[in-house]
Amino acid sequence: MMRLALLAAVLAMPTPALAHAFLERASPPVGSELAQPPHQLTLTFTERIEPLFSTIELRAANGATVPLGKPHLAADDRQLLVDLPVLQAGEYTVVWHVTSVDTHKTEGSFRFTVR
Amino acid sequence: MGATDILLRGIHVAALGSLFGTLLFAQWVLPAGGEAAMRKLLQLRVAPLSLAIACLAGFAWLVTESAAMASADNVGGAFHALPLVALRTHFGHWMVLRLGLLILILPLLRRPTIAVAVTGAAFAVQPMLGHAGAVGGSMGAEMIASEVVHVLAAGAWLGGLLPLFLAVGRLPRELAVATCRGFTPVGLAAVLLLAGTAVVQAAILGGGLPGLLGTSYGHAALVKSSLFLGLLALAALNRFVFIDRLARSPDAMRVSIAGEMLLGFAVILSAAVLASRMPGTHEQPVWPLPWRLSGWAFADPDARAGVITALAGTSAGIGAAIAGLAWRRVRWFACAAAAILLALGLPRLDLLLVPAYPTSYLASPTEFAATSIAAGARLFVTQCAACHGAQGHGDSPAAGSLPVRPADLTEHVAMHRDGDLYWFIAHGFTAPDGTTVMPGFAPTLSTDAIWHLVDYLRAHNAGEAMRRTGRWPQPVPMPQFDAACADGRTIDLDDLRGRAFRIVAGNEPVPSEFNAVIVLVNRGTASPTDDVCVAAEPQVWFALAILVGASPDALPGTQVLVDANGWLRAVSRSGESIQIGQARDIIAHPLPVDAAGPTGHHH
Ligand code: HEC
Ligand SMILES: [Cu+2]
Repeated sequence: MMRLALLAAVLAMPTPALAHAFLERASPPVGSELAQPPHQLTLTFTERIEPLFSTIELRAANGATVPLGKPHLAADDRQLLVDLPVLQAGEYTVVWHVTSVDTHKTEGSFRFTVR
Repeated sequence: MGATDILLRGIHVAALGSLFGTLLFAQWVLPAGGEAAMRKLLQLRVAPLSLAIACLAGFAWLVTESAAMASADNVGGAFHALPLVALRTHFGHWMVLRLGLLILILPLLRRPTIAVAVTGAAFAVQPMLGHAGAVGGSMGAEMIASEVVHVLAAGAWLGGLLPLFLAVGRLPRELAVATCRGFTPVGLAAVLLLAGTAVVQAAILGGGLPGLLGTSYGHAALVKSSLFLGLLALAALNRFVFIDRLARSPDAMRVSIAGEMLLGFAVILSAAVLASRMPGTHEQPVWPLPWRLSGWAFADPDARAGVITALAGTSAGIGAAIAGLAWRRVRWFACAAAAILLALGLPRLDLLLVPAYPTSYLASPTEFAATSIAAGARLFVTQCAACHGAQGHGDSPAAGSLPVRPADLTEHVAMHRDGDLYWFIAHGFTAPDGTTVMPGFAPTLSTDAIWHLVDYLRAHNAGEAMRRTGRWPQPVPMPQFDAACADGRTIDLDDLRGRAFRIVAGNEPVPSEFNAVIVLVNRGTASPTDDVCVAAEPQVWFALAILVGASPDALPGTQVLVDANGWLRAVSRSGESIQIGQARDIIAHPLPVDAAGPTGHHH
């Protein structure tokens, strides 16, 4: 029985938990194609974020950087928001660098397209 | 986090633990009578020294951490970042609070009870300076609570070692023995609390056995656990051997306590290393063994009896061996019985093992998305169908002329983990004589493309089973997708977790008697209404057709009921509808999140 219990414990492996902030989801969604240009970018991370040391950059298809304000936290402090200017049609790359409240830094990027 | 940060964090935490443990020891462990000088030494020498080191190392840690957070690479930059971090970040706030409390302790050292309480409070801030504080939510609260207990227990035990060392050397023998005995319950309680809370932390952060054996976080955790076991061994040695010799000579005991202190510091340093590491999903485990444990045999009617007999035989054999060791009278008989039982049972335990590969426990990054399934379907046609056949049955025209018959991919793909399939596709197969029977695709396909193929194989298997038998033999998850809703929001599968929903393929939501959110899957013509969201990406249509085993053109009117944990549960074709009784049952009883069950088999 003991062995079975042990085996069961090994089989029921806990899903490794989140630590270090990684992108959980985004709006507009990662890889999405949008009929309307979005007004705001919302990035939800797996950990609580330190806005002071976090940046969001937006690049157009030709590599030009779209000027954005400083990102701020939503009520849920795992969410970073930044307002967008009116975007022309085309493909955009979002590049994020965030520091989670446990001081660890992570980064990543994704794309979306405005039709 | 660099080596300096780790070292400073380690010294700071060790000094804090020493302060906490010393104050506790002076107040509650030292026995009454003839020890006033000892108590004074602890409260007015050891404690202030620990306090000073804790403050200095703590401040230095705050500075280096500020520099790291602000990416400053020189001293000027670090001191510029210091006020920003101290005043405007969580880490800074908690660290300032802690350093403030520590300064408050200095004038309180003559009021031991208050000093212990304040030190405990400063120490209890620890989880807020690491992973636990960053997680948030109820899981975060659980981690914070267990870490508070963990650090306080560690402080009470390890911090008491220096006072114990001093007491053994300086107190009269009898008093020294009494002191050691007084420390035993503290140590024992601390060990139990440490082990218990460590299990909680490991369950949340560790990633199970693959995480432990296959990631650098797991390796650091293994190092920490072995150091902890060493510490336990020394503590047991002190308690059961050296304490009796103490009356003759305290030297052995002192050496052993000094060893405990060193090991204790090593444990704290390894904890600092762990705090700097990235645990969990984002370090993908590389499985180091050629096999893994699997419960598949319990689910397989042919193997079940064998594995249960093997387990019973082995357990009985172990029992007999223990009986033989314990009772002299039955020794020979029990040992013979144990040998026979173990010889019969042990070899059959290989039923619990299945072949495994370095990638076995990789987690697919695709979320089983509709886009991924669709991409995999396209790749399958160009890369795999020539051997495995258009439907994957291993029946392509070329199959007969190949040295080894291509596998029927609808046979037992479901029994392999995603990571196993990844390995097969990436590395291919070689016959025993060395000829390549299936080429490895790692050189030609990207890792994403290989994951798309894995997703397609899974979806296609589910669809083939549905087409042939009218049901899915294994639970099938709903693919990830995006849908637009009437209020302008885009939702995905994660937004729908926790409630059942109905997928309808077509341009009109089919009415139904049961209540569930409706997601309309269409080819881009309908628009969302109040209670209907629309998934218009063509891949969602395509993936749904694969999963229900229908051709894309036959899909309109099909409905699928998805339960609150994201499992596909019921299908109805055009013109039919899902029975209301069955639907109510599914809505009320979602399959558990881990319903996929054990995987694995032998070829
Ligand atoms: C040259 C012919 C050939 C091609 C091309 C090929 N395979 Fe195979 N595949 C085989 C053969 C032969 C086997 C059986 C190998 C064995 O059992 O030793 C096999 C086995 C497999 C298995 C193991 C099945 C199981 O459950 O044990 C998987 C999965 C697989 N192939 C997937 C693929 C995929 C996906 C592709 C396309 C990217 C592909 N194969 C392309 C010949 C091929
Ligand atoms: Cu197989």
